[in-house]
Amino acid sequence: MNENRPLTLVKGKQTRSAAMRNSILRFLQYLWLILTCLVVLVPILWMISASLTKGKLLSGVPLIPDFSKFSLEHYEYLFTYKSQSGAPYSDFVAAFLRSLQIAVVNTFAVVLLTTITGFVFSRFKFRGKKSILVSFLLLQMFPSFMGMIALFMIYRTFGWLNKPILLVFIYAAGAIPYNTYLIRGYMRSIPLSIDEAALIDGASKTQIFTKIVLPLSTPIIGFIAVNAFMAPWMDYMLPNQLLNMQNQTVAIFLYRLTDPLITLYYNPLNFMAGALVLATPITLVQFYMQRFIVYGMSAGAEKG
Amino acid sequence: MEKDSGMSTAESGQINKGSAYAAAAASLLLPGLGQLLNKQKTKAIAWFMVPLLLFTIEISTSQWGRYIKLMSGKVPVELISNNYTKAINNNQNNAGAEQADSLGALFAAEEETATDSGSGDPFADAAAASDSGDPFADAAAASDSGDPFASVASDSGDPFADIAVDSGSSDSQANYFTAKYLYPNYYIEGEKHYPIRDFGGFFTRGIWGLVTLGRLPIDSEYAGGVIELYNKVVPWLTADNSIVLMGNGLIAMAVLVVFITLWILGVIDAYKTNIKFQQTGIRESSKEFWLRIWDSLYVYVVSAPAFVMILFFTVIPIFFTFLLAFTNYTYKIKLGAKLIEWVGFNTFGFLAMDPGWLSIFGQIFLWTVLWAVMSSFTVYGLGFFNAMIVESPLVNHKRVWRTIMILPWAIPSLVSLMMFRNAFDKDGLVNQFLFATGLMEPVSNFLFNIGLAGKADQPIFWFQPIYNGRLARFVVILVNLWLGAPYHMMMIIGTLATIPRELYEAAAIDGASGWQRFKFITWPMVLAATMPALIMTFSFNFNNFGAVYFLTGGGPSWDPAKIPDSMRIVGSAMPGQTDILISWIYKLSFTKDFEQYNVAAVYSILIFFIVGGFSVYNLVKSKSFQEEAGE
Repeated sequence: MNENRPLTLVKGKQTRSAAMRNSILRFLQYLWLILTCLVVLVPILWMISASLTKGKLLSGVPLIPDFSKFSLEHYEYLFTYKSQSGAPYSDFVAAFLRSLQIAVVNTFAVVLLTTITGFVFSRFKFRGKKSILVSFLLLQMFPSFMGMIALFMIYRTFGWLNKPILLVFIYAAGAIPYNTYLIRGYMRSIPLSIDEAALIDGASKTQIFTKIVLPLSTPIIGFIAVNAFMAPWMDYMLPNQLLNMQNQTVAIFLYRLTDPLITLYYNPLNFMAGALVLATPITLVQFYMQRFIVYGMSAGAEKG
Repeated sequence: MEKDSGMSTAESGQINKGSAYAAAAASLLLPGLGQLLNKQKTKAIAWFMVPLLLFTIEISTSQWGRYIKLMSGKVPVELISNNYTKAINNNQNNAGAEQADSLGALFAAEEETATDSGSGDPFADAAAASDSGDPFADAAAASDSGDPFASVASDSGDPFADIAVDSGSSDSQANYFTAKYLYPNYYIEGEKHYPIRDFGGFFTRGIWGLVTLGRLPIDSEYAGGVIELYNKVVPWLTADNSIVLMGNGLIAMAVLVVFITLWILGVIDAYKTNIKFQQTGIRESSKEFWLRIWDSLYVYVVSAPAFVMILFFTVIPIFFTFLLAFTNYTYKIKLGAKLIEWVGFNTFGFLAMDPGWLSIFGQIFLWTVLWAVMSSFTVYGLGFFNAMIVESPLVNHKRVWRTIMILPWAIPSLVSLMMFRNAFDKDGLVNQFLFATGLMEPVSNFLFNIGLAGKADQPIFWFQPIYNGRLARFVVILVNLWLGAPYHMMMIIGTLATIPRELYEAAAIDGASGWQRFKFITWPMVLAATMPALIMTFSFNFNNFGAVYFLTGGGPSWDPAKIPDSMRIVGSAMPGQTDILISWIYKLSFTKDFEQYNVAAVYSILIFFIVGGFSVYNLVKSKSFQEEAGE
């Protein structure tokens, strides 16, 4: 499709009817694009407008901006409301910081663990390799929360309940199988001859890993790091079961704001404000890291 | 390599299988023994560590010493639990139970985490609901606070025991320190006793628990004592908690499997070394052995942390769920007060035979498949279409369009889903927009006429009333389109760039039209490149819990008239009309007071086989895996 225009020009068959058809086509394409963008943007704009509207009713949100209803009360709520007096931060900020902490630790844990397993699976032949790979694949197919009763028990036995940071164990363990596949696929494309040359120069296996394979795998590691950073923000089930109210993560905080059954917290407009505050940095990170993500997506598509 | 000419039979070419078998048998008896026969001392010590570790773990976690003492009659009579002490025991038990209960309640209150948000914490709920309280909570509470009552063992000789109970906490300290271990009374006529339960270590007790799932709930009389919720000093008086036993049993099994594997490897090693020595007369020195071990174990050692984490946080929970499918564990069983039992394939049979369950399951399954197919294809199709238009030569400012269009992908999906939940609210964006533009009446009528909506309401209730089930399903797919199309658009744009330009040039020379070029070049090439991704999307959507749960919460609910009687036991864990299998499983496992763990586990296994089979098929077909096979 890209080459459409130059080729037709070269062939010199740009007749009047073709030009006519092209302009109709162009019109239709732009129409479609504008419609699509409206569908994409309108809900987001509505969200912004809702977050800046007074009160707690969705019906009060104007479709066309109405400055008489303008208010920052929802943002104020987010940054000042404390369910326990004396807490250093507001509930929302505390929940946000907890999620951030989990996300950062998870990123490091996942990158460390999966680069090692990826390296092992791409560079070595060993007994059980293939069956481990297949079982990795099977493992991630099991609905994760179905193990929740067992996870709850494990966490209770070790006294890990209500400690947000320890959720990382589950997130990281869950991320290993698929990411191992991805990294392995990438590392296999790094020529073995580099390893062999290093081996002859007396490098150990660990040195080959840290000095050669790892630096050459930056794009895929970037992809995995972004994913590992993103995943915990939006997880709802694990924190819901393993953390109490005082240790909630930001996803649960937001969910509570939209659940009509929890009358104490229910306020969709507060939710809109919170969702925006949360989504903005995440969206920016996603855009900033787009290069890695697009790369990883195509790698994932190829490698299945 | 050391050459041991004395033993070698290499020259004669005769291989004495007998000695190899002897070495193997010796290793089977005791790892290391066969290696010793093969004259490899270091190796023998290494292998000998296996049984040593095994028995150390078992002995150090067990009380077999006490068992031997008891059976050999060396225990003073007053330390054996009997009917007299039972009376006191009972007394204290009640006091202890009361205190434990209040603590349990406190603990549960503290842990209000989930109760609030509607879906219950299965264990905290047990604490609130049952008289006996949540054994977990109580155990934790008791051990945290050092609760004196919970840990008091009645000492038959202690005259203050009763007083202590009366006078409350002031004397409790004395009680705590004077508490004595009490031996079970195995001499009571006609009573079964369970020495493994009472004295067993990590492995024996673990396996016993896994096999039996416990025998003694609270308040049962056993061996001259009365089983209580938790007893710190006399562990055998603590009630059996089936779930804990099952979990510990699983962990014990996992560790045992590792040990048995090592044991067998030792046997094989002894056999092979012996044969090899006879053939070549060469015996590996211990230094070489360790080097080789390090070399071949390198992969296992460096990836061990990952494997251990997968074992504990993925594999064991999965096995646990598998096991639950074969039990009768539902909300009716309050842990500690009642025991879970193995029921074999009963749950499977019930679900497969009961017409009520079967019909509801059938409908949900059909919708799940329809949902997975529809959501994957619509998303892929729209993504493809958008990619073609954005990349069309007639469109300028591609970057700008693309950036706007991938916005839904960059926004976290939970946020967008909950935003849409509000947008499709009675007062939400969609209805407001329809009212403002005057489209409400025609749209509502249209939806009614084509059969999506059951009534021509104004405003439209998108997710609530029973008669709007189809509309809700349609909206779920629509919202998923908004969320998912950008991802596929990006992926397809990426693939478009990889199609060789020459193909298009050749096609243009042959006079192919734009449509033909699309049909014969772009479409097949993109499809081939993105097929695995499409299959992944399908299996992802099959289990796309969030898209349903956060948008509609499964609603609208089923028409109560259509619910078969046999389904009523699930109470509020009934599926809604948009519930897919996975979100129903979630409801079955976590709806407070209506948990159906066994049913949820059966359905999970089913999903596992469907989606797992699909993915394995996808993988085995994939290029990289087949290359691996060829290696």
